[in-house]
Amino acid sequence: MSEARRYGRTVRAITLGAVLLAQGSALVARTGFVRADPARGGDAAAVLLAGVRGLPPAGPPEIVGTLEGYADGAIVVLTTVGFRHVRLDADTVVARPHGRAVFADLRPGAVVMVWGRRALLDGGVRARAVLVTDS
Amino acid sequence: MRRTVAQVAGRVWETARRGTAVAALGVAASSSILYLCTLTPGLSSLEGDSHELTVAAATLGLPHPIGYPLYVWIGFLFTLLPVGEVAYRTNLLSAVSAAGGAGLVALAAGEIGLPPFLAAFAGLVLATSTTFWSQAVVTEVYTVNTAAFVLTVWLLLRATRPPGRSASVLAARRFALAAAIVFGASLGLHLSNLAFAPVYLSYAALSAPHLRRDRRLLALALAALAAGAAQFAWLPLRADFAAFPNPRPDTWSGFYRYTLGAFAETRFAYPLEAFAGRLVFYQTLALRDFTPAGALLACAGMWRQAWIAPGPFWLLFGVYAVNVLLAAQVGVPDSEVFFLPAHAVFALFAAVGADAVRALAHSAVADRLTPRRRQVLVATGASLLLTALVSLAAYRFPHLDRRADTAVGDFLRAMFAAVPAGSEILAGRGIFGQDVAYWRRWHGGTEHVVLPSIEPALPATSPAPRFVKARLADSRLDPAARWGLSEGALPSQPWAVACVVGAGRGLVLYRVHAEPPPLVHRAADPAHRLDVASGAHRLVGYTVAATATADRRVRLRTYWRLAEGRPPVVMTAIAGTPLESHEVGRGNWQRARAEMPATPEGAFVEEFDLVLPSHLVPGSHRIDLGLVEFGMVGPAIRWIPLGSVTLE
Repeated sequence: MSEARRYGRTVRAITLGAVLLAQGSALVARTGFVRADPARGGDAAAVLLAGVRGLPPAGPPEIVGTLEGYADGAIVVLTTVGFRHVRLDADTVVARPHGRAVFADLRPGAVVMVWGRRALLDGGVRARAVLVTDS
Repeated sequence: MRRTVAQVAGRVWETARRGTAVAALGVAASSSILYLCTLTPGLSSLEGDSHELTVAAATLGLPHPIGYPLYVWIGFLFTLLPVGEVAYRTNLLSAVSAAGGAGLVALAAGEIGLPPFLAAFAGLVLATSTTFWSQAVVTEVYTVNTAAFVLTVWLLLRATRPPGRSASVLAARRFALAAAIVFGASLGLHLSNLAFAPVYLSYAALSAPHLRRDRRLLALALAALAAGAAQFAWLPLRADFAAFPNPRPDTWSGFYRYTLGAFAETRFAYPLEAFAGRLVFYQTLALRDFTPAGALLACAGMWRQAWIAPGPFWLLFGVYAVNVLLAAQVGVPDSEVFFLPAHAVFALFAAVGADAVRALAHSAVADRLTPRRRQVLVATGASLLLTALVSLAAYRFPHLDRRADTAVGDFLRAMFAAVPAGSEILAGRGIFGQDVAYWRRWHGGTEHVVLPSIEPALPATSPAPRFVKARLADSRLDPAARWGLSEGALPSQPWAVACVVGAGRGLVLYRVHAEPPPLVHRAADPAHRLDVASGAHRLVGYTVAATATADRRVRLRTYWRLAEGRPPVVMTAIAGTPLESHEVGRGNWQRARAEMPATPEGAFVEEFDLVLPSHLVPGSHRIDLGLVEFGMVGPAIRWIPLGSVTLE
C-alpha cells in the first residue's frame, strides 16, 4: 500500500483544510497588521503619539538589544544573535516610554527597541521608530 | 511475481535509506566544519546564560531554573575533552549538537520520503539559518534541545512507518520506546518540550494502531517518561549550588518554583489582542532566517506533505504549531531562540517544497526530454539549490563568526593584572558574576584579589583598595537587587571611576573612592593639544601610552572643558576597528561639574586602561578616538587619530 493510499478522502480534505486555514489566517494577520502598524506604514506622527502616550508603537519590534556603538547615520545594537546595524534618518522617530526623545538620547548602554524594515537577508534594519526603554 | 516486486521495492527503499544516512552524515560533517570555523574560543561576550551554564556544567552544579540536569551532565562530559579552555568545550557541545541536529533533520526528511539530495537540503537549510547558527557557536541549551527534539520526531516517524516499509513490528516497538526515552530525557534540556506530548501521543495512537494496542509497550513508554522526569531529582541533591537570585529547590515549593513554576510571568505574557502582532514577529523571524524564497518553499511544502502523507504532516505541523503558538507568547527579549524546534520543522517543509517544484518540473517537461537531458535538468536544479545555500552561508559567515570574540577573557586577564595585591573586586553575585568565578577557577593570576561574590568579603573598615565590576548608574550600584550586591559593600555616596575598559558593555572595572577623586585638573597638561569642539564641549587634548602592557592594556587620558549639558559620547578604535563607546566620565561628569570647582584653564580628565583584543598581532597599531555627534539624521562620528601604540 503506497503512502498516499493510506488515507481516505475525509482525512486528506481535513488536512488540506487545516493548511489553508493556517496559511490563510497567517497571511490575513500579516496583511492587516502591516496596514495597521504605523511604524511600518510610515506614519511617523502616529508612532510618536504612541510613544508620548506611554505605549510603544504597535506590534513587535524588529530588534531589541543594548546600544553598543555608532556608525555614521546608524547605531550598533547588541542582540541575542549578535550585533545589528540600525540605520537612522530624518524620519526616524525616537521616543521614551513616557515622552518624546531625540537622537542624542541614544546613549551608550541604552536598551532600545527598534521598529522598521529589515534588509532582505541580515543587513540590518532601517529604523522608523526607536524606543529607548532603559539606560 | 508479487513477491519479486516487493523484494525489488524493499531493495530500492533500503538503498534510498542508506543514501539518506550518507546525506545525513554529510550534513553533520559540513555543518560541523561551518560551526568550528565560527566557534567562540572562550567565554562569550553575548553573555546571556552562557557563563553560568559553562560553570555549572564543569562543576556538575545547578544553573538557573529549570536546572537543566541533562544539559549539565552532557556538558560535564564535554568539559573533560582535552581541547581549548573549559568554555570552548561547552561551546563545542553546542556546535556538535547543532551539527547532529541538522543531520537528524536530513534523516527525518528521508523518513518522510524525500530523496537523499533533498534530505541533505533540509538539513543544510536549518544549519545555515541565522538563529540556529548563532546558537551553535556559543554555550546555550538551544541546539542540544533542538537535536533532541528532531531525534524524537525522527524516532516516531521511524516507529510508524507504513506497513510496506517497516522492517518488523518489533523494530517499530523499539523505535517507539526510544522516542519515549529521548522525549523524557529532553525535558532536562527545556521543559517547554512537555507541550509536544499531546501531539506525539495523538500521532502514535492514530498512525500506528498496533502500537496503541500494545499494553507492554505503553507501560514501558510510561516508565521511560518517568525515568526522564526522574532526572529532576538532581535539583534537590545539588540545592547548595542554587545561585542568586534563584530559590533553593530542596523544598516542595522551591522545587515547583525551580521547575514548572519557573518564569511563570514570562509565559503568555502578551494579551490576546497582541496575538496577531506576535505571529507577525514569528513570520518576520522566519523570513529573515530562511529568506522569502525559503519561506515560499516551506509553505508549498506544507501543501505537498498534507496531500501526500497526512499522517506525518500532522505530526510535523502539530509540533510546529504548538512551538510557534507558545514561543510567540513568551515575554523575554531573546524569544527568537524559543522558535528553534519550529525552525527545524520549517526546514523540513522547505525541502518538501523543493521536492514539489522538482515533481512539477518533472511532470511538465520530463516526457519531452531524453534521459540524458533529464539528468542535466536534475543536476541543474540541484546545483541551483546548493549554490543558493553556499551563497547564503557565505553572506552570513561574517555576521555569525565569533572566533574573534575574546573580549571577556581579554578583559578579565587585564583586570586581574591591573589591580594591586590585597584589593577587593566586587562583582555580580550568583548567575550575574559567573565570568569572574570562571576566571578564578580555571585561570591563574587571581589569588592576590578578594572576590566577595564567591568568598568572604573584607571588613567594611579595611583600607584595601576596592573595585567594582558591575553596571553602575551615576557611580551607584544599579540596582543592587539585580546584581545581588550588598548596599553596604560600598561607601555611602561613592565615586566610582572607570580604570580598566574592555570591548563590551559590562566590561568595565571601576575604582571606588570614598573621597572625591582628582577628576578636574586645575590646569590641563596633555601631551598632545587639540582644542576640538564636540557639540557644546571641547576636547582639549590627550595623552596616550606609546606601548601596551604585557596584558594588553594601553593607558589613555583625555582632557575636556567642563560644559553644561549632557557629557559627550566617544568611541575608541584600534587598527580601524571600534572597541567600545561611552559617555565621557561614565556617570561622573555632572557630579564633577556640581561638586568640583573648575578654572578656565582647568579640565575634566578621563583616564583609563583600554584592553586591546588578543587577536591583535604584535606590532604598531593606530589608535583613534571618535567624537559622536547627534545631528538631524542620526549620529555622525569624527575620528581623531591619537597616534600608534606598540604591542610587544
